[in-house]
Amino acid sequence: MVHKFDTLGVKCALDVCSGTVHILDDISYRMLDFFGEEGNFDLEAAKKENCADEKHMEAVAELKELKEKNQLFTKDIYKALVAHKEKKSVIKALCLHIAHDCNLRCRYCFAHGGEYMGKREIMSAEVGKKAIDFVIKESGARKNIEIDYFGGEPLMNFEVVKEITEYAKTEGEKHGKNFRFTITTNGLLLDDKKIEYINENMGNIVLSIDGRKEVHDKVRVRVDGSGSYDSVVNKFIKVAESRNQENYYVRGTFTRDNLDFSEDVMHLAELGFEQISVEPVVAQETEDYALKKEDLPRIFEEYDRLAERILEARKNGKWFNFFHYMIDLHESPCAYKMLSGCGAGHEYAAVTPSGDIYPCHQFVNDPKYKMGDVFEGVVDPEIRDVFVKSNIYTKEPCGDCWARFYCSGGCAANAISMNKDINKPYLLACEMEKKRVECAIAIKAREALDEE
Amino acid sequence: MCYNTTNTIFGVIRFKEDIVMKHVKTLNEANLAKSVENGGCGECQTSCQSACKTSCTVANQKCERKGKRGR
Repeated sequence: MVHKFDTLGVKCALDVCSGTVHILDDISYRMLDFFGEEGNFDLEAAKKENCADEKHMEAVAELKELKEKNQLFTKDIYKALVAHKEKKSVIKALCLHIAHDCNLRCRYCFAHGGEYMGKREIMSAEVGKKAIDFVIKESGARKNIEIDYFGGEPLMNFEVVKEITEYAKTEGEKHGKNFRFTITTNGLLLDDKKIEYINENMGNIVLSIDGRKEVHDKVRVRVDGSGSYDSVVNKFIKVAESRNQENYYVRGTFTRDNLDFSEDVMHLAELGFEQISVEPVVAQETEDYALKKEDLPRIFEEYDRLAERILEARKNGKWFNFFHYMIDLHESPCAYKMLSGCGAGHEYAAVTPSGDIYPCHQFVNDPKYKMGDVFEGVVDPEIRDVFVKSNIYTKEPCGDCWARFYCSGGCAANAISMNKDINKPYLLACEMEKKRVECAIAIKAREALDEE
Repeated sequence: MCYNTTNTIFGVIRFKEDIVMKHVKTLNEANLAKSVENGGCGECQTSCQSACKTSCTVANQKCERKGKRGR
């Protein structure tokens, strides 16, 4: 399968199954239209369209050459890897819900004020330590284990975060495991001591901020309805600088209320942040801030605009990274990873304050998806199977989609939430993902052409 | 043996055939198929642990064996 696209003024052809990208001129871009799915050139069709003169045929010869070299029209040979993945999959990453409580009431929060439709509670050190024991046991031969302290707001229970971290380090050493920690925070309770501990112990910190003050304060509000921007922005700048602008993300959400979200990304860049992620909100269409199908043209336009602004900033010596435009065209994740995505329910799981285990943070407190608890230390094989057996070959639209190896079939939680079926991806998210991949590739192409 | 080089941006691709690329520039030498031989170690980061939590983007994750996987 070949996907051709014209983005940011560059014509590209992506060979889907090898990951090779070609930059095309107008003639070769046109001539690709006369190649079938298998890469067979239709000369008669080209002649009918007056596309068979010397220049056209020169381009055809080049495209055929690339096919010969397995750089165009390569076949999808990866289906057989699914069985290997199913067999070898082990839980090696946990999202620990340190606090089902929050000091903000963000309008779009999928945790509904931190409670996840349940009760307000915080995790005890005992539960956290049991979770560490559980993942050490479950992870088998895997050396690297990830722990994300999540909520609610994990800084509301920071002493327990520290206790679990120290326990994991000690136990990790005993069992030959390398624990990597991440913490996600709204920043309200950050102080110098916490920053110091986080910097010493955690490989990543995710700082929640939506961009411009008026955008942030409209959504990310305290219990009394007041905005939180002024209370967190300087702390976040301090965190970013203290980590040398690496190993962190400022992470925002855009909604229907700020479809001009490139302004928010640029605002964060202007504040000096170099690691930026701003993502589309996921919400049922009944919410007034939810993104809708009719918003897509505007969103695509904004992604183009953002890509141009990133290119321009970099040209002017101001480099920053946008999470969704990161792409390694030379050494991507391996095919095994690209078949099955995030690993929710079989490589990744969430643990609630009371120790219950769910496939990921988005399933928490949905009784149908409770997989077990850290005290028993076993997961329900039937629920695990639902997740481990879902991949790009079981999801209906993915087989024909050129972007399937980049999103790996999309978010399982979104598919179930929106379409009640893990194998029916949330198509609005698919469309946005495809646009982002095109932009990410086009940025690489433009930068390469500029370097010539 | 006679080789021609393509008009490649990164690295050089040598073809035995007498084709000089005038209409196509190859941006990368990715080969997902090769990753089957040495991939699948499972040591890499879980995508939702990086920044997203509400979407699934795998292509931007780092390979734990970057530089060691071969092509």
